[in-house]
Amino acid sequence: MRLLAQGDTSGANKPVEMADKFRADGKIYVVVAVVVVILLGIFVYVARLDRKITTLEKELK
Amino acid sequence: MLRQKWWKIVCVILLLYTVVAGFLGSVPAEPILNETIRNLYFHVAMWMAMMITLTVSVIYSVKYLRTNKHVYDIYALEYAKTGILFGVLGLITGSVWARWTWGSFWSNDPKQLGATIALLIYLAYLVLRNSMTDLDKRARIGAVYNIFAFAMLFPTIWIVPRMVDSLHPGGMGNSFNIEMDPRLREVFYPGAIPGWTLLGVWITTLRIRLQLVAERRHN
Repeated sequence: MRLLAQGDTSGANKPVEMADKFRADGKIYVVVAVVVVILLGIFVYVARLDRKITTLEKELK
Repeated sequence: MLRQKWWKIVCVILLLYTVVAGFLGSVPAEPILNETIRNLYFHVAMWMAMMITLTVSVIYSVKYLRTNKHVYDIYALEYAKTGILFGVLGLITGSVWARWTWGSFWSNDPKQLGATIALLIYLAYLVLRNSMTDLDKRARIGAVYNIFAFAMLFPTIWIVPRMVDSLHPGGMGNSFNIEMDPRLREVFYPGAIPGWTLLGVWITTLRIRLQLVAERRHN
């Protein structure tokens, strides 16, 4: 992966490199899938914690 | 309100939208940034979530000073902690982004420095609270300090970095405003900001409820 882009700050002439090959290969979907799995994991954890605390609150009522 | 489900479901939907649209959606092609412009939905959203969370915290600090109600102190503390978490995540994600776009993790950029100072001030709030054993004093002095810490967010993060030369957008010599593009706007404002903020609120309310349950059991 390139550190800094071409030192061209005029930005006008060359088209800016984007991850089009990544998208064409379908690899972008791997990225999305990974992040979604992580997010869902976090949500499941937080939701279970929520339910446990609700139970505790009801017990102490 | 804390136990209601609807806003938690909204949070899940918005964050899933942010992530999917964030990676698959179309974005402007900018030099130097390339695809990393998508970090807007993550790094920048962390700072927005921090601002909102810390605002809630200071509001509860003011409410505590006006009413002396113990719950307000708990709310203020927990929202401050979540705000600090967002800030730390903002610093880390910003450093990673900087490594690949500005050339190094740390550039002594005014906003990097300002944000670090702002976070240190909030960390001192936690230390200050713990240094006091009298619970009323802890809450009262903590509340006053919280107001000061909140006020300090503005010169350190919002004002000074815009008045001097900075690598960050908005600084002098840097007119590029990446938020203007509508493609970015439609994920950032309806998705990323409310999504991450609601997640912060959810986690904070869980800690608040846990604290209240623990105190009830104690009594």
